Amino acid sequence: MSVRRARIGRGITLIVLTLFATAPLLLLIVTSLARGWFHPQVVPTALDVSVWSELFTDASRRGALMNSLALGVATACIATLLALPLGRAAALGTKGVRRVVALLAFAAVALPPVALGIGLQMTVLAMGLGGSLRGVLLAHLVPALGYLTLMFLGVFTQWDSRLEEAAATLGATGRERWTLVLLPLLRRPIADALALGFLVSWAQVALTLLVGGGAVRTLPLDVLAMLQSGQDQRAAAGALALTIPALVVLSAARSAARQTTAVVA
Amino acid sequence: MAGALLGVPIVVGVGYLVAGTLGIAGNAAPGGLQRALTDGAVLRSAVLSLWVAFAGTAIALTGALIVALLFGDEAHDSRVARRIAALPLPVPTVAAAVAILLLLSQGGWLSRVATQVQLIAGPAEFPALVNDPLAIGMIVAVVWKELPFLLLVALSLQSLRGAAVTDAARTLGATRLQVLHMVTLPLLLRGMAPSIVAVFVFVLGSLEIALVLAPSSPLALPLLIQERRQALDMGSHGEAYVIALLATVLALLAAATHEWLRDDG
Amino acid sequence: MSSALEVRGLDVRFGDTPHGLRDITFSVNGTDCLAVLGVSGSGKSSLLRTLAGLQPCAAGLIRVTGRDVTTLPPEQRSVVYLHQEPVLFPHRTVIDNVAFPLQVRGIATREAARRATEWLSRLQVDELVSRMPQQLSGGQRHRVALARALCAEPAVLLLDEPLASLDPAVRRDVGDALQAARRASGAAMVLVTHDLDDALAIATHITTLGHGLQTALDTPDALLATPPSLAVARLLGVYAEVAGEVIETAAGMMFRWAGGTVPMAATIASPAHGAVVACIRAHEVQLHPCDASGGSMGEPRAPCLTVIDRRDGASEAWITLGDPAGANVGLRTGSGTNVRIGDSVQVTLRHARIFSPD
Repeated sequence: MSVRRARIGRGITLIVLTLFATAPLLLLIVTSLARGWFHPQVVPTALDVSVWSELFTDASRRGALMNSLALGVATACIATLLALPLGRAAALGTKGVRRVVALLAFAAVALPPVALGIGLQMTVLAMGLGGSLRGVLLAHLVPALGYLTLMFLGVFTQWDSRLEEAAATLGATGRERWTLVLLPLLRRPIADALALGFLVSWAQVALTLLVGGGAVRTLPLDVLAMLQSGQDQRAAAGALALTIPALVVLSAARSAARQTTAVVA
Repeated sequence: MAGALLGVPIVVGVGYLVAGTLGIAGNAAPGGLQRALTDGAVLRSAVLSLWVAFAGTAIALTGALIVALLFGDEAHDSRVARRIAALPLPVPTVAAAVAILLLLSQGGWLSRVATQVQLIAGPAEFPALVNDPLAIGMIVAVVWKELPFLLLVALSLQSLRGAAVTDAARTLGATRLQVLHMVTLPLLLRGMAPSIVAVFVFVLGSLEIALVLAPSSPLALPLLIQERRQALDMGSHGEAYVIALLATVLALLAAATHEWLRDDG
Repeated sequence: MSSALEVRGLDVRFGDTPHGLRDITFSVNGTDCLAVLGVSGSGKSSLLRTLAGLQPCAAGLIRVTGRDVTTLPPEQRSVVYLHQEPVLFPHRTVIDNVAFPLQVRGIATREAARRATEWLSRLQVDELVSRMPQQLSGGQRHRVALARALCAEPAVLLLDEPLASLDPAVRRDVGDALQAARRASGAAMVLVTHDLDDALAIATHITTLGHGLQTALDTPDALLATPPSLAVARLLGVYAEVAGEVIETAAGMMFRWAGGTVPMAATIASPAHGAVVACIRAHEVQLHPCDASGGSMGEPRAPCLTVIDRRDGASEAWITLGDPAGANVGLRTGSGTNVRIGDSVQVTLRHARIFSPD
């Protein structure tokens, strides 16, 4: 295939790829802003942003949004705090320990959420936290810890321990090595971990449904309810409200990464 | 230690499932295992979920491979492709499912376009692409979410491997086509194997896609578990635990396969 | 008989830059081996890749066994390229790796396996047939990669720094394998290196690169005896440099330096008079303890120099000598030479190549 034909082929593929990736998102945006958009109109005739403002003004919707945010932030922080030392200990440990931790972490991630949810529901009920926000948080922490442990396990397996060794022989104490060497270099993985932990909780459906038992309303559950009652515009707005923070959080993590790379470089 | 937080819920959660199956806990009537395995509905659900997982993963993989192979050598275009492919990644599964629903349902956008160009006369004539027994809507949603992920894995595998292996093959006399199917493709698939397993398992257990896009009969596996769990009779509860347990075992097997594949590579 | 590889007026670009090699010309016959010597970054690898067809050449002609391959893709050139780090297919066993070039030519599996095993045993690694590349040691990987290359029965074998970064033991091992390969296959070899020892180990001819041009092309002996320029001499790295001047005497042109005066050996680059640099090899230097009565042949008395420093290498010693005027001269000599710091010596130069200083 000649070079020019290959380039045209790649160009077409890029266009198709772009359409593929963006079309559903564009549809969500348009649907969320369209008022009275009925079949067979291809383009909406009237636009309004009322459903968007509803997210903050309507008590029930705001409550769901707040729950999601609270759960997301809490999950991110707690899971990162726990997964970092766990991943590091496992990476520095024996091969057997590493294997067990990796397998447990992967199980937390791979287990079908419904199956995990049922088991966790009974656990949470036994602890007396059934149907509460704290119970749901506990449930969210399981897959979050799984993802983050795997992530930190990977980070510390590839870690260059010579940096700490050099610092030690230069006179830095354990604490100083943590604050002056480890943590600055860990800025990027920590940012990634916080982002990932947040997203795992933010987008969670099965665990919230099963462990919360319908008493805890989060944004994803809200979206599903809107969809089931045929309120497409509200559902679309909710779905976008779910997506936008995800995009923001990820790009924030990426720019934190860039800063770190600049410092290290 | 943090390991306890990771391990204990899983062990306890799975433990409860086992206990529920055996009738020790959870108020289930005994004999659930037998009932679950002989129930035709369970078999049909399993077939549907497996179909969605296989078809969705296969199509996503094929698409990802095609794009990755087209862009593999071109550093600049590959970066553009990576950016575009990254778009669907942070979109929560729920939001993706909603978008696909809005796109493919009988009152959805594609149906409207078809009506405008007079391919069909009204929404009823549009083929059932969502909530249909072939689960086409579910498969489309799976492809939308997973093709970008597999594409990124493929692209980074290619950039990691570099051109040395294909250069060596070419000077040994292999034509471009021979290099493709004897060297590039086998190596790519080998490197992607863990990711493919991960995608398959994830799709199998996903509740979100099922809630939005699955048919009402047969029920997708996660929905079946939920239905049985929430049913009024205790017999169904036992069935729910069994199915959940079987799904868990399957996922753990997949996890073991994933680890074994990773070590092998 | 046409040579196995003929290169004429080749221009090679470095990536997207305007820099590159210009007007490269040489021929290599079958079973001969040409070493391309140059510093890092001089374009040696780009040259090889161009010969292999892995990157296009800006101008010039490449012929393999008389066939013009300048515009042909790599798989049609009968030229095999061997990377510095052996590149084996990680998803295939050793035997499948070696049989690969036959497989792509459509040769039946049984026959391909037979030929592959033959090459593996010629390189003495036939016991590794069913291993995977990841299980092989460094030396074994080199031999398997070589077997695979030879299985392709190429007219030309290109080797990119084949002995660099190898431990001495493995180096010998691979060097022997390359010699065996050269004799067994009849292919012409082109290897690039920055190390003269590597080149001398296998090459029948040497060409040097400098500032984008070819600076020399000759057999190793001829090149070492008479390098065409000071730059090439420096590249070869086996000479001590001694500053001095050319003077005209009744006995002819002489080279005068701190240690005496010697008749000048004319070289291509030797100027008529003035300040010059002489390049001298270790075995061309002789040191005698200082004799107050002068040289035994009745020559002008050679001055006495004091040994200021001595550093010993594996096979040579670097001696720094000081003259009464305070100038220092560095020389190389055999490590068996019996001088110590503080000794007073006279130096006899058996041979000197004279160049203008740059």
